[in-house]
Amino acid sequence: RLMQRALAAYYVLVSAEASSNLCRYDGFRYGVAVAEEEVNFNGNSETSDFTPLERQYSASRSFGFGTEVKRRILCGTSVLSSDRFHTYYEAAAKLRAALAEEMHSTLKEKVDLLLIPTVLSLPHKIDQGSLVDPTAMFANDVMTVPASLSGLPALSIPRQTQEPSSTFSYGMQLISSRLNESMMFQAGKVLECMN
Amino acid sequence: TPYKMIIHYQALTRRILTHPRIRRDFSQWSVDSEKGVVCFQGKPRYQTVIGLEIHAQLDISTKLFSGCPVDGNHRGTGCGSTSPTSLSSSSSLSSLFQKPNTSVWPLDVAVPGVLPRLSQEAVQAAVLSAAATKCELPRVSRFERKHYFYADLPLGYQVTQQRWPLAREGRLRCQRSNRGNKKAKPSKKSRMAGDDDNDDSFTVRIERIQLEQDTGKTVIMTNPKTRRKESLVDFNRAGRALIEIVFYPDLRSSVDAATAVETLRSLLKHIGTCSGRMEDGSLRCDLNVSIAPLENMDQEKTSITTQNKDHAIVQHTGNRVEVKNLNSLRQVQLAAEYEAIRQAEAAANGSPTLQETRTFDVKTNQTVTIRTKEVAKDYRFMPEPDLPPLILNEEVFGTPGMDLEGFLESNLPELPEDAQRRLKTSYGLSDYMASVLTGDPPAIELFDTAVHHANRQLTMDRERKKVPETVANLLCNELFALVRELEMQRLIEEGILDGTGETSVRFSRVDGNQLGEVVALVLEGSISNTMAKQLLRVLYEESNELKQFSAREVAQKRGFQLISDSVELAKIAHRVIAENPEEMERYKLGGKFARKITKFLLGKSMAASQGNAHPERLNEVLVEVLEEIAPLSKE
Repeated sequence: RLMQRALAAYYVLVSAEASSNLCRYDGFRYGVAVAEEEVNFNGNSETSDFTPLERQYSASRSFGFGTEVKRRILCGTSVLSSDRFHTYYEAAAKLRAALAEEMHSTLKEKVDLLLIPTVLSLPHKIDQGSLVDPTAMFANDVMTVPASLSGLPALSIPRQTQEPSSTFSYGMQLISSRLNESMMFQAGKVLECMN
Repeated sequence: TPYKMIIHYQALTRRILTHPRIRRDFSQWSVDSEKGVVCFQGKPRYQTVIGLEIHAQLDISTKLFSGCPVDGNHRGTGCGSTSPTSLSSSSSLSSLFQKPNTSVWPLDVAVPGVLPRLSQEAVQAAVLSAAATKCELPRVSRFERKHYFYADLPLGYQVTQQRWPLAREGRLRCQRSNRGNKKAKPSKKSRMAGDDDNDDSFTVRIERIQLEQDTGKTVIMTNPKTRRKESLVDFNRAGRALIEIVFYPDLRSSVDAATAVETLRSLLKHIGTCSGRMEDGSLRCDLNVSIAPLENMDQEKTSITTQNKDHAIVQHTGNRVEVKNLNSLRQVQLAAEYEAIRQAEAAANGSPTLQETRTFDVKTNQTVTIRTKEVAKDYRFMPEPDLPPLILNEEVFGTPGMDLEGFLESNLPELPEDAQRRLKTSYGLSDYMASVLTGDPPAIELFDTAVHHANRQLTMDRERKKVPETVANLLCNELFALVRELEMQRLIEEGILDGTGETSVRFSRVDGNQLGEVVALVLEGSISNTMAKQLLRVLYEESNELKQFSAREVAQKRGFQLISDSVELAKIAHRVIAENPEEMERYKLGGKFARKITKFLLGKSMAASQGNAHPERLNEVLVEVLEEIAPLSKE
């Protein structure tokens, strides 16, 4: 159903927007600037015909952005490129519109609030971070994506764990229709007290 | 002083464009400036095909999305912006002399965390511009991001309207300048407002008009300390509102291209949305030039219409070359001609030019490649997520309940095309007169008022018939000159106007009513033409003191009176006759001598009256007196 593909749509759109919004970070007017001399471009055939400006930009950006950010920028640039735009970005945008439409009508006509889990898996140990597959990390967002894509208010409420020994438990999420935050807060308060 | 050299921008450019030239760059190739036909050894080989892209800076108070005032954060930088007669040109003037990077708000340099907010003024100006070019304006248009990296593009993308522009499918009607006959009355054909292209005019179609942001300006300077060339960026211009007007490749010659640019320029200036100064960059022009082979066209049947023939030719148009960095009409013309010949020569030699972008070198009048390797740029267009779709509704127009039509009706001034047609058909003015008047919109209003007022003052139809022509003559020949002589210098000295301002009767101290009255006085025979000019000058120079008097009263007070009194005139006639006894003897011979001498005496009498005698009355009286003194036998 729509929900299943929402995650993919979300990442396409989010990466695209991120790659666009991060274009301004070139070290030229603010932020980190790296002198081009400090970066070794020699022997790189792809960059041999860069202009000095392009060299400066790529040096600053390569240095200043972290791995995850670079990953998303590359992904976003890719889906916006002219030969992929229709397949990825446009398809994602259409899916988003369909999803938003369905969620709006559900929340207007059928139910007042949606109650779903916030996450599907618990956080990994900190020293195991590099072992986790990035795509699996993305998959963790599947429950929070629909509200973001549809532009609906959502509230995450922590839940008391069943076993006293474990630190984390799966939180719960309330989603309401647009501009209906007050109802959402009231319900959230009740749920919080129930813990 | 500079302004004296700019006589009338339109007239000046007409002079450049009118002179027919054939350009010869390579010894064998030439191109006709007016028809765009490229010839080898005199034989037509190719047809020039030109498309224009024009960027016009909107003349509004802030930038497009940031709210930054256009004349900088420092108001009143010595250009009289507080004066009541201050014009919007003063704000664009002061923006010229601003120090770099002084008119910049956070969004203009892409400081993180700032969001764009669309300026209502910009949308209104863009809508007016689109309406003036008869475009279709869909209710909804959208903004997109066009991504590329460059130092003068702070956001790393330009906000523009690619897929859903503000306006589409418009047209621009251009006049080819009339060589020679200024006083020609419009031919019956063109007077009937024919839309067909003839030798006088042509239409260029507009594909789209879109709103977009301007970039910063890059300047290359040599660093005095390191002696190295540096590129510096000034962001004052970054974020200013532009409209991009893209034309279909309908143009066929360099002269037509320059004419189209000039027509658009003066149209936008007329409606007040763009100050239209190419030299300052408020109007920028990019040229797309290509050529189409003319082979085998002679053998085609002559029954093919011109339009079909043209269509057949441009089916085979070669690669187009974009030429940038054109800062004047003359450069547009030169670049187009150079490109046409360059492409023709290359094609004929078997290596047709590739699609590329070139820049115009002012020193050599040639186009030059920008980059040796041209890779097609992928701009990664993406819908702008920070801006909602632009809906042309009452919120945009600023008045509750107002729709597009209502907005245009109250805000779009009479277009030059329509005004010119109206002046020619309703008043029978010549092309030249009509164009001088429409070249200065306040002059149209003054003209209308004067005609109306003069008609009210005159009683006889035969007098009324001559009103429009007389008003036009006095307005164009006398009043403009008075304003130029007495106002423009003062305004420039006081800093209210910059030196490139054109003479406008907006500054005239004589209004339409007064002009109308003067015309009425002439046509009813109270004053002569010469007196009218003098009267006008008096009214102008002493406008303050004579405010409460009507033109008629002033004429009387200052002695501008045609002598119509028979007794007075008889006296003059008698005196002149007495002073010329020899001529009188010849008169008595009768026949043709009588006629000649009458004319002679008439001239003498007129001189004796210092030109103040009413011509017809004087003639009547003279004839009567002659009859009295020396009656001729009837033959």
